[in-house]
This record gives sequence, C-alpha cells and structure tokens, in this order.
Amino acid sequence: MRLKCPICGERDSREFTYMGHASMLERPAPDAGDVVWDDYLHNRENIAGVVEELWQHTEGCGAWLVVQRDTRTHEVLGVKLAREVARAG
Amino acid sequence: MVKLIAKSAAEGLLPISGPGVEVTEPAMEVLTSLGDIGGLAASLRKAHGLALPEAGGMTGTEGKRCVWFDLSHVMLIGPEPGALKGGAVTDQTDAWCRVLLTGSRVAEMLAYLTPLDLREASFPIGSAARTQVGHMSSLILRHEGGYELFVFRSMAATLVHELEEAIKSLP
Amino acid sequence: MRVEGKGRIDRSRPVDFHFDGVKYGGYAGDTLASALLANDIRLVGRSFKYHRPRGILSAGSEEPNALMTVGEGAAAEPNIRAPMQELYDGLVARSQNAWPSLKYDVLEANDLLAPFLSAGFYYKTFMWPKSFWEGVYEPFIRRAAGLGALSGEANPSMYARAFAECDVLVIGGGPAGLRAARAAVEAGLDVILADESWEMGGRLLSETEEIEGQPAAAWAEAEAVSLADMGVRMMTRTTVTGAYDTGVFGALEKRGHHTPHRTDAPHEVFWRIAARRAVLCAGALERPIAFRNNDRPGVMTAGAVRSYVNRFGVAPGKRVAIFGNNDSAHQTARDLLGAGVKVTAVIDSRADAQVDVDAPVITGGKVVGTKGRLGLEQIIVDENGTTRSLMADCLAISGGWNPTVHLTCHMNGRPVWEPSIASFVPAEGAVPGLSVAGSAAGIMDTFGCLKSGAEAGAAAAKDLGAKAPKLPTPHASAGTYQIEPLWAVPGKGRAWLDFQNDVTVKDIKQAAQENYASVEHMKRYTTQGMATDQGKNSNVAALAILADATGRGLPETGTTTFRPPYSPVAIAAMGAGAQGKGFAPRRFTTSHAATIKRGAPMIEAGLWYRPSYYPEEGETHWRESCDREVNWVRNVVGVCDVSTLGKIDIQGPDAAAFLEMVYTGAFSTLKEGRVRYGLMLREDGHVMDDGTTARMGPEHYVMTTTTAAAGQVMRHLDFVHQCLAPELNVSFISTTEQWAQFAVAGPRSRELLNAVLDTAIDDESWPFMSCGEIGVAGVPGRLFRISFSGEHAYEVAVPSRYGDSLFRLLVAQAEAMGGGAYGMEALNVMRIEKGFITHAEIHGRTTAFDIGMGRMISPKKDCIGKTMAARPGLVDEDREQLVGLKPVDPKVSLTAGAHLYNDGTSPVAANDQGYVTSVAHSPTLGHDIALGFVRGGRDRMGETMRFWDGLRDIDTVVEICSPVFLDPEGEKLRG
Repeated sequence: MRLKCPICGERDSREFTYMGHASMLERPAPDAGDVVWDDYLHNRENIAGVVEELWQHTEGCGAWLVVQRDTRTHEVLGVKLAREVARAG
Repeated sequence: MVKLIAKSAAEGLLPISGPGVEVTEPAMEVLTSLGDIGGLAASLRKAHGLALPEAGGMTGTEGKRCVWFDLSHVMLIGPEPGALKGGAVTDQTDAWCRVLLTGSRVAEMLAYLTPLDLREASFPIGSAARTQVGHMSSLILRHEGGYELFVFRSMAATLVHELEEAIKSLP
Repeated sequence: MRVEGKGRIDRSRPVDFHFDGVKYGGYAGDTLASALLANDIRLVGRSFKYHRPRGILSAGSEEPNALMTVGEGAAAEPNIRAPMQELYDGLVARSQNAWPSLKYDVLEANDLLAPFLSAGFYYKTFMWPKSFWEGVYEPFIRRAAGLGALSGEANPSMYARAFAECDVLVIGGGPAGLRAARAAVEAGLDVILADESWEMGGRLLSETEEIEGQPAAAWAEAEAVSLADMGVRMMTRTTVTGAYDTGVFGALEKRGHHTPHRTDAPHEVFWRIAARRAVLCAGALERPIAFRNNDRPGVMTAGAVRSYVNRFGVAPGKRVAIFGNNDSAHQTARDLLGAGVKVTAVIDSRADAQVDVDAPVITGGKVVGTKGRLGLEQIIVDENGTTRSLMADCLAISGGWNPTVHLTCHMNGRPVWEPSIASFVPAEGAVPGLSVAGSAAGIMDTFGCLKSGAEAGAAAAKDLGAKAPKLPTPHASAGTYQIEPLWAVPGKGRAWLDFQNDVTVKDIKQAAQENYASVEHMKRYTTQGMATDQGKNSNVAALAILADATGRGLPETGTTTFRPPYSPVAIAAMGAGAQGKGFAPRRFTTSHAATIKRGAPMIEAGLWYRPSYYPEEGETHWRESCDREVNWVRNVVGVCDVSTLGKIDIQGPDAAAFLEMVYTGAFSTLKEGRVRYGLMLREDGHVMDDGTTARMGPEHYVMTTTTAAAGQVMRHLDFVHQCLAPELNVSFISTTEQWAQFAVAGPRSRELLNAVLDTAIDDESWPFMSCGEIGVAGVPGRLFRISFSGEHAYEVAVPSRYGDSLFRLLVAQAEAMGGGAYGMEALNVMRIEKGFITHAEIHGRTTAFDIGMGRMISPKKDCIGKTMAARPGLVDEDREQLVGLKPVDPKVSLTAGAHLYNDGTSPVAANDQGYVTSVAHSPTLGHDIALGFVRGGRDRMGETMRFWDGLRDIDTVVEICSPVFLDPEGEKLRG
C-alpha cells in the first residue's frame, strides 16, 4: 500500500505508522465529564465504510496525518495534515 | 591541559566501493537544524543569503546549503548559524553519520535499501527526502556532487554493513 | 529422448548434472525437467498421500509432481519445480517423499489403504484415542505425508529485498505482454516487463507457429531485444507473486537458481514494485482430464509435450497418444510428427471434431484407463462403448485452458464463468489500475493475444495521460478455439484431480454427499487446491464436478479464493534484509570501542548496546564486578555512559506552556540554569515516562527521556503539538545523537571533573539540580548536576565526536583516583537502593498515585492525563502501591516477577497482594533488596508477606519497607 503524504508525496506504507482514530484530535475539556472522556479514550465506531484515521509519517517528515480510508476496499480517499485539521478546529 | 580528540562518525569504516559505487565520508561540516518560531525566512536570508527550501528541496550550493529536513525543520549545512531571529537553532553537527555516494550505479544500488522513488523525474538533483534506509530513519540528498545519506551517528556501523550488502546485491 | 534439429537448447554446450546420485547429461537451455525426459527418466517423485509414482505433468511453474531438492548440504533447497529449474553444470537434484528409493518406496503401501484414506480421513480416523495424537498419529502423518525436507542447518544463502517504481507494469512476457510493453513504452512511459522464465516469449517459445512470417520464438526474441533497447526494464526470472493495495505488486526474482550456489550474491530478490498501472498478461494454464489412473508417469498436458518437443528438442515418449476435448490438442500431433515421433492415436472426445492430422484419429472416444508399472505402457480407449488397449508411453492430454486469473483475485476479485472457453475469466476492475490482456483474459489465439496486449498497453498509457500509439497487429495465426467441456471420464476407479494433494473425483463427490457442498468447505474437507500449486491444474475441474454433484451450475458454485503468492516464495526471501545484522539497526555509543576493549559484556537496551559491567582480572562472577563498581561509586567515583537517554531540544516563546501540557508539573517557574524532574502521563492517566528537564535559556529547554521510551516520547510530543496544540509557538528536535553524555558519580566526582573542566566548579556555582554550558578540556560542553545513583553526581556532555576521547579521559582519571567505569548492573543496583523507578515500575499499568508521586500532578493547570488520572479507580487507597521489600532472612535471594501474599495464605490468584518489579543485591546493605507493588502498601510498612516465585520455586518471607533503602534525606546528593 502507498499513501500520499501532503508534504513528501506518495510513499510506501512502511514509512507510515497507524496511530488510531482521528477522533483523538477532539480532546475534551478537563471538566467534560466521565462519559465524554470515556468515549474519547476508549470507544470507537467500527464501520464498514469510510473512516478517518490518524497516521504518522514516522519514517518521513514526521507529520501526523488524517487519512480518509474506505475499510471495504482500502481505497484512500484523502490525506490531510492533522495540524491543519486541528487548526481548523 | 588535556585535549579531546575528534572522531568522525564513520571513522575506520569507510571508504568502501563496488562496481559503479564509491562510498566515502565527506569532511565534517557544521549541521544546524532550524525551526521557525517567527520569521526564520527573513533572518536566514539576511544572515546567510539563503532562501528557505521547499519541502523536499534545497537552496544554496556546496559549502553553504539549506536543505529541507522535516515537517518543522530545515538544516543549514556549512556555515556557523550565528543568532537567527525567529529561528530555533540546534547544533546537529555530531548527530549524523553522513556518507557520500558517487558512481554510475548509486541509484540502482539504493533500490536495495530504500523504498524512495529515485528515478530521475522523481528525485532530480536538488532533492532532499526523509525515508528509510534499511531499517533506519534517514535523510537522502541529491546534489551536484552525488547522493548523500544521513543516518543517526550511532548507526554508522549498521549503515556501512547495509551498504556492503546492497553493493553485493547489484547484478 | 532428444529430437535432432529441434529446440532452443545450445547443443554446443553440454552440461552434466546428478539426479538421485546418478550422473546425466543435458544442454545449456534445458530445464531439469527437459533434461530428465531427454534421459528417458519418467518417474520423478512420489505423491503426497498415497506415495503413488508420479512423472512430469507440465512444463511450467504449475508443476504438481516433479518437485525436487536441489543443491547440497546447508544450501539444499526443497520443493523446486523441475520445469522451472534451469540446468547448470554440476547441478545436484534429489527426488522427494520416497524411501528407500523412488522405485521401491515402502510407503507405497499407503496406496493399498486408499479406501481408508479418502476425503476427510484425518478428521474421521485420527479422532481417538486422544493420547495417540502426539505420540502416534502426528509423527506418522508427518513422515508419510510430506514434501521435501529442509537441511536443518542455517541457510547460507543471501537474500535481498528491493524496490522498483514504474508507470506501467506488464506481468508476463508472452505475445500479449510483449505488445502491451511496446504500446506503453512507445507512449513515452516507464515500463517494467516481468516474466518468470529466463527469456521473454511465453508460449511463443513452445509453439511452431509464425508471426510476421518468421518463427514465433524468433519474433519474440527480436521483440524483447527491441523493447530493452527502447528502455523497457526487462525483469526475467521474476514472478509477480501478489497484487496489493494502491498499485503495489510483490515479485520474486530468482538470481542464483541457474548457477552453482554462491554466498556473495543474492540467491533471490524480493521486489516491491509500485506501478501506476498494470497489465496482466499471465497467459493460461492447460488442465488435464480426469480418468482412471490418469496420474501414471508419462501422462502430461498436451501443451507441455509441445514445449518439450519444440522448445527443448525432447520427445517425452516414443509412442505418443493424444487425448483432448478441444482443437488446441491437435497441433501436438503435428509437432510430434514433424519431429519424427510416432503418434499412436489422436482421441478427441467430441464426436463432431474435425481432426486434420496424419495419424490414427478417434473422435467421440475417451481414454478410460492406463496401464504400466512405474510408467505408462498402455492406454485403454472407449469408442462407442467398446474398449481397446493402445500402446503408448506418453499420453498428451488437453482438457482446455484456464486463464491465469490468480492476481485478479488477490484483492477479493471473483472470476466470472465464461462458457465459450469453459473456464473462468477475470472480473472487470478486480484490482484497481490493473487490466487483463491475452489468454489471461480468455483470448485463445495468437493474433487476438497480440492485439489485446497492444490495446491494453495503449489504454493504460492513455489512462495516464500519455499519447498512445496505435500499433498494427503483426500477422499471426488467428482462429477460433472450440471446446466441449469434459472434466472427468465416467467409470470406476480413482481418477485424479489434484495431483499434488492426491484428490480424486470420488473425493469431491463424497464431500458433496457428506454435505460439504460449499466450494470453500469442499476445499478444506478434501484438501483440493490446498497444495503449494493452489490447484492450478485442477481447481476448475473440481468445481465442475462439485457443481455436477450438487446439481448447481458452475457460475453458482463459484470459485475458491486465490491468495498471494502466485507461486511459492521462500520465507527467507520474504524476510530478506532482516537476517543477521540486518534484523535491526545496532546503535553504538561513542564509548563502544573502548568498552568492548575492556571486555565488557554488552546488553541490548532497545537498539542500543550498553555494557553490563567491566570485568577485572581475577573476577569469576558478574556479581563480583558489579559489587566492586557499586562500591566505587558509593565510596570514590565512577563513570558511566548515559548518552542513550533521549534528549530533546525545545525552543520557542511557548516552550514552557508546551512542557506544562505534557508534564504533570510546572516548568514556567523553573529558573534558568536549573533542572527539574518531570513525570509524563498518557492521556488515560497512567505514567508514560519520566526524566529531567533543564532550562538552558529563557525560551530554551532540554528534556531527557528514558532510553526505552525516547521514540515514544518524541511521537507523543509530535502528537500533542500537531494534533492538540498547533497554536503553541514551539519547536523541538531530538539531540540524543548530538551529545555524548557521561555520568560522573561518587563522593569524589567534583574532584574528578575539576581535572577536566576548563573552569573549576564548586557547590555554590553548581548546586544540586543546576545545569549550564561549560568548557570540557577545551570543547564547549554541558554540565548537569543530577544523580541516578543517590551520590553526589553530575552528567557531563560534549559533542559526540569527542565522546570516545572524553570517556577514555574520565575513566583514566577515575582509575587514578581508585574508581573506574561502571555498567548497567551497578547502575541498576544503585537506583534500586535509592528507590528510583524505571520502566520495570512504570510499565504501563501504574499511575503517579501508585508510585507515590500523586502530588506531582499540579492542581494549577491541565496536562495530558490529568483528568483521567483522577478517576476513582486510579486513586483507590487499595491499589497496588510502590514499596521496598527486604528478605527477613538476609541470606535469601529475591527474584523479580515473584508475587506477594499475606502471611499464611496460599499462593493463588485470589489471594494475590502484589508483585515484585526489580531486585538487586545491595553490597552496601549486604542483602537482597527489591521494589514492588503491594495493595495499600504505603500503609503497611513493617508487615511481612509471603514471597512466592512459582517459576523458580522460591517461597520465602519479606518485609515491606520504604522504597528508599539508602540515604533517605538525600544528604549525599547535596554534599
């Protein structure tokens, strides 16, 4: 598999590390309560379809990436810099 | 007063060579990583007359070069950095084992070490890339003088071993 | 038997080889299979289950029978397909799965047991008694059923992995592949053409037809030369083994199979090819027809017979009969006659077949059996209900051709039934970016293959935005391929489908009868298609028989799943680049050479190599060395390389805010020139790592991490900055490798340092937890007054180029003072004596509360992990808390990993009160000490507990004490 890093271009999958679900970007406020925090840390939708994932270009530029991927086909629909996504809030 | 003796990263390990491949350790130059904390481009231009490189690229020439390094850093190669306003300046001169690869079959040999696309159109002279070499994180440069590989200094022996294996792999 | 004047072998280069200990001759250009046939050797192996005599069935990588062990000693390689093994001078091959010899195989008796060994026999027969499984059944099955054996020695061969990229990958160098490559390269694209053979051409090398008025093989040869000239990367001896996501293909190149064994060049290279488009031109595989005893040596596919005659100049028999259900078989007779070989009969199962051959023809006939001991002597033919025997030592069968759809199935594609060729063709778009051309797409004539190849190549080029040429199709034989399905000839006896796994028509029917009617169930019940050839010769026929037995059509029956690799790939090739020293990078500190020279045994810490201890003359046990080193540090001075700890340079206006986000404590209040201990949590509230952070300037900090967690911490900082707090103006980068850093510890550490520092230090200028820049023997360095031993200690750092030199200098100075270098064992003893934690304690399930640092979580600010660390379950007073442990009997040895129980309770899980994480022998205290976790332990000081290590059979009593065994007030640190 190959992924297109927005900084480095298309690279072999071995340069990247899967880092979990992109919802990790939405860190709750300290007082958001147990349920919200529990969801943030532990609960994930496991869908057959388009998911948003966090990857890091660990062996490349080091950028954390939000990768949109279809779990049914492994088709990658888009790759964005997590930094940009986080800034856009 | 005692004097400390400097040793290069690949001292005693290089040069090595094979058909169409020469591997040498270039003379040590000052390496400085620069992070932008507000106005690095201007101060770099003012202090060194160098533009910030684009991702995957480099500016300047031999002896005074600025190469792209990662998402947040470039690397100044050659001059002492001096104070750079708006720049996070970190000395990395001793952090890297640096080897120069020359010869007609370097790209062919590197295909046994790195998943980076090294075809002319993808990696022309003036390119810089972070990628894997063997199982090591690395920086690969291509300039007028050939290809340069950077790996962590502590991995110098492993790099030379991997290069020896890759040279043996050339048909 | 050789045929004069035929074949592409080089008769001027004779080659000697050995098979089962006997020397034979062949020629350059032969395969092991063709050379064996040229020497009239038909019996080449014994079958997997019944040990039936078997001969060469095919002329390609689909070969199920002729599996050989090639090479000698440690380099011997089992299960090499004889038709793929190029002959070289001195080649040594042995047959497999027969004892004592191929001709007299004791386990041939299995064949007599056949009635008991039918489909599912494993499941039925070896059920009971249970105790027989390991002792009786398994050894028996392993011995009886088997392919070749490994040498049992380390593999001396070299394997390489490599990467390639291209615009268009063409898989298969037959007529379609050659034209696809031409179309793509003429469009100006980067093209790789890969073929499993040593020369391009595919079937063209084995047929007598013409292209553009010249022999097809000559045309292919010229075309290959021309393509190479145009810049097509020609990868011969390279099998594309798998299709993966986003245009990545795996391919195995056999570099050293056609030459005597070498250890200084790769035996095989495993390629990862990234292609923007791919064209699959893998051709088609001929299938046999099942009938009674159709597995006798001498029975082979008709296409293989043509290959041996036309490509290798070998007649596989003196009297050859041909049996087919399609027109392609007829050419076999013409080629044999042209080579001067007698053709006994051409039998076509179709009553209306037009057979234009100068040999006896039987239309509407069927071969119903064979005879012969260890090889074919006669065939039995049924013609309109009457049977007769015909003399034949070779029978060429053609049950039709199956497109090589395998790669199109690797990403879940399901091939589609195509009645006109009575086989499956690839589904459209089964692999994104991959198109299929030639007979792999079901096109069965040469003209059609050439044309479709060029079209597919042009389409790929156009898809990539290149201007594709319109190539005129070379003049070549065109025609229709007429076939009438015939899967199995009805009749009694065992008719073989899967030769490699010994599966018969009856087995398939039995599976259906026992309700294993789904194709996937049938496969597993009978093992049909589960051999190393994945049923290349037999799957379609087996599916047809299953369809018939279950009363369904073939399209509804479907196919089993082909998975990578297309043909077997050695594990060594998959693991290429990771053998021996290639397994992982080895990180050496700058003191490595000097340390090795002192004879220190090294231990691995992650990728780093660090010294365990530095043995001295006369010491016979590591504890002697370790105790001596501890005593040095406690009483004089010691030197230890601590460069492996992670160092991260952090700068920027928001550096302090960033640190306060990742650390539990405050860092904005840290003064310049001072160091503070920091605890880092995971977001779930457990401890991630700890270390000291020094403030070097107003906006400049240097963080240290543990050796083990350096990479994890760096990733964490990247995550926090990029994903959670991109607004912070901070820049950080690892400087672990930039600095060679040495701990100088002991009461006389300052005295030692003052001998090497450019400026002398004292307690006032460098108090405990201070830091700064300082000249070290004329070199700009850094000094940190921190201690991991509990002694008055420093860490001194210089740029790595001076590390070797400084280490030698420091150790020489220490030795002159009566101390010296110390290793990890002594370091560990001293930190346990002081109750300092490592990842043995912060192992991922402990919290700041557990290790007694709950108060380090600042109430004044948020930080990663703070919210979740406050969960009631994580601050419960009954949690296991860090304590010290000492044996009540000081002579007793303690062990890490032991569990703790209340006195008088039995050591079972329900009674578990805690466990031991670190143990050391304290030379200072004269007995073993330990750190561990005990339920509510902080309130249980002085209690005794049962200490039980079930693995090492230790059962003793320990007393709970403070984890700080020495100098609890820290007077030595500040002294």
